[in-house]
Amino acid sequence: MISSTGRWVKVATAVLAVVILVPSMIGFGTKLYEFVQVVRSDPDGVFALTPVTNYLLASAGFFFLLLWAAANGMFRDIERPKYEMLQQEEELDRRLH
Amino acid sequence: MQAQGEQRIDGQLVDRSIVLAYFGAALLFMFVSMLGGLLMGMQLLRHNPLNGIEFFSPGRWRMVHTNAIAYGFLANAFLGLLHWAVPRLTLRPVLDRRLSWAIFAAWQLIVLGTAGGILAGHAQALEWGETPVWVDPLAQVGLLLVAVNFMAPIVQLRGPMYVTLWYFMAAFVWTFLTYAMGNFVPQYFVSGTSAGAVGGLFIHDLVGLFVTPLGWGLMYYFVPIILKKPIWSHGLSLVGFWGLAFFYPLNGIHHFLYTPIPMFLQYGAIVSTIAVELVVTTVLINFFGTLWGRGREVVTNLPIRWFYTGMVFYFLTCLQCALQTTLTFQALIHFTDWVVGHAHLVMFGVFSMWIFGMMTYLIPRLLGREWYSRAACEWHFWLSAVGVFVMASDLILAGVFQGWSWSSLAPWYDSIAVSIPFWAVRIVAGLAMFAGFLVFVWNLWMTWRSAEEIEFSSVPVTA
Amino acid sequence: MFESKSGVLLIAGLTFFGFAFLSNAVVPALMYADLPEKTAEELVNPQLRYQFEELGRRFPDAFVAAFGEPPTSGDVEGWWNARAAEALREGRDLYVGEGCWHCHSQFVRPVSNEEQRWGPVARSWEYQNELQRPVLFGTRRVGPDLSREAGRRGSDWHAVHLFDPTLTSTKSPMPAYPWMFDGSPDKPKREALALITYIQWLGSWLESYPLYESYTPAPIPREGLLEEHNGQ
Repeated sequence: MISSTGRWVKVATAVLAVVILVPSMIGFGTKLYEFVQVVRSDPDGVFALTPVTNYLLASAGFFFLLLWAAANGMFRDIERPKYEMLQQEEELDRRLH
Repeated sequence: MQAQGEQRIDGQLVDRSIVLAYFGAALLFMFVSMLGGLLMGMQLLRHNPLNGIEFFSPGRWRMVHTNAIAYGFLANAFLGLLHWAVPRLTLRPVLDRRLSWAIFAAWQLIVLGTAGGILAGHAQALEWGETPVWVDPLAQVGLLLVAVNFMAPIVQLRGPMYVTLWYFMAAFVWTFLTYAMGNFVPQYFVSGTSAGAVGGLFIHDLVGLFVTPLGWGLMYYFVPIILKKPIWSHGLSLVGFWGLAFFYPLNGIHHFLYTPIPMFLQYGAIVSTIAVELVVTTVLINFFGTLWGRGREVVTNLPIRWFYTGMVFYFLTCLQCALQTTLTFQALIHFTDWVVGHAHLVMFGVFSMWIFGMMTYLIPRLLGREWYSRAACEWHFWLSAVGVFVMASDLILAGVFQGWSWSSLAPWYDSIAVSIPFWAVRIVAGLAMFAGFLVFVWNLWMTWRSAEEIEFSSVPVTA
Repeated sequence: MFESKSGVLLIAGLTFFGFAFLSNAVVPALMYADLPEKTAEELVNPQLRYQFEELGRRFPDAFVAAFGEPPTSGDVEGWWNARAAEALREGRDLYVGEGCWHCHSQFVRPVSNEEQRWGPVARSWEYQNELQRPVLFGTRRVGPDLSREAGRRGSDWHAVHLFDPTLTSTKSPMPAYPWMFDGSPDKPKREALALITYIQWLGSWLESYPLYESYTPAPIPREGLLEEHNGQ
């Protein structure tokens, strides 16, 4: 399975990565450049920093919560809960009535 | 988790009467909301028989219409469904049953207070949050109690959690914070443009951080247990959850593009809105991956059909959202019926349809009776699905015409004249949805009245 | 929780959340720190005063019943300004309570030829006052935008229009508000007077007051179109 399909998957992933990432990087790069220009030149430019800071702060919050969850083993054996949940349901339907 | 649960499994885990009570309240407010929508729709066509009567003023009933859906229908139905799903997923009852009933009573008072306050002319100038200012603190306490009541069984769990519980936990915290932010900050702390920024966040986060996580959380629960098949990828579902957390909360300003709110904030909102669509795609791939190989269930199994129709509508609204949030589209469609069509597709086409699917599945189990009429269930589905699809497409198209009419600088009345046929179609579509709803209520009543009790375990999943 | 490494991560996550929430509320406040919020009293301007006094002359009995007899000596100016501010606040509450803002927006965008139709694009300082708590931008226009409405039409037009919109705009889908009147448009109650005062305030602060709505179909924006109409 790994031999033929694995190769195909790798090629497809690489092609998709190039097709998606290159334009995104170009777009992001130009916007970042524009942003830096605005911060430097526009008298109100400093305000451009505030929403970005806001986003970064909130994202940092979620990021640390994600790390906390990972450190607590929340993502260990990641597919297990979906089977447990179904077993539990069957058990409940059997035993409650 | 299993070992601790074993002792409790035989006790009464789910209080079925409270689930039913919440469903009853939800359906009552859905009826009120639909009446309000009908009244406003008739007013726009200048055929409102109640025009000029203070307590039937369409302006006030428009606010009752939206608030009854958000706080009367969606909140009540979600609370009922949570009383079913949370104990069964955690194998633990909620914190306190008396507290549950107290919350039930308090929430109905809040919704009735909101409706009464709005009809008496005490609305607050916050879209989706017109709850009078004197209802807000009570609602805030209610939301806190809801969070405490349901978090108690969830936090006792150890080890990896099922994705539904992730969504629920987040929803309890987010709903509380969102309600506080929207109802208090722009009223008491900031005014003007900054109040607009906060108001935009509120409109959006009420959908994104209260309705969406509860809706998807319940879907991740009901779809696998009805299909008797695990979700395609639990890992991917967690990607969807964290993606929602990272990208959803801060994109509300896209409701006020081209206002005096600084453009930087507007650009940021647009970019993160588009990012959300990528997250949505992962969630949909996951659900269709689960359905893969069992496609016939959509035909034979009513709840599954409700769910997946809602999901198709969800994909459409999200695709639409990614387009309409851009400044190019906004120039044309902002202020038009396009947005109204979008809102109906989300609130009715997605979340209300899911809830109707869940009710279709649960009511036989709650009452211990088979549905009185399977045909009536089918009618409910088709009238609702076709009705909302026609209504949304009609209004979205109307929005384009209105936008063009305005930018052409034609006299204002031209934009009304061009809307009249669309508004007429909207009424017909709305009446179809209303009829479907009444069929459902009739079917529920007849099921309730039917004497035939059947064994719980023998209730077929296909409703 | 506090002694483990993962506990630190949890606390860090929650703290960053707190920071984000705080900056979300504080940042906009700081951005508009140089624009102090105005009270209703500070919003009373000569244009509004003219419209308000005109209401008193046009509907003398109703006006006296609603706001009392205007004094002829003493602080006459102060009395009029105070009554006008009172009417503004009340009018705004009615505007919110009746849901006017769900069909009439209050901001002009820099796109879609809106400057031609309504007038100057909305600016932040226009909203920095107590009557914009929460702000009444609005998200839907069934009827026209109202943020440049002041002075465009007379108060008698507004009275008739509120009493029954189809009397002035034959095919208007706007609901009627007869309960704000004592049976006929020439007998407004306090509510109607307050609401008309509020409407006559919307845009009264602009230099381009009153700015008449352009009805000339002009698909391509033309220089000088507004001036032509202002000159009429």
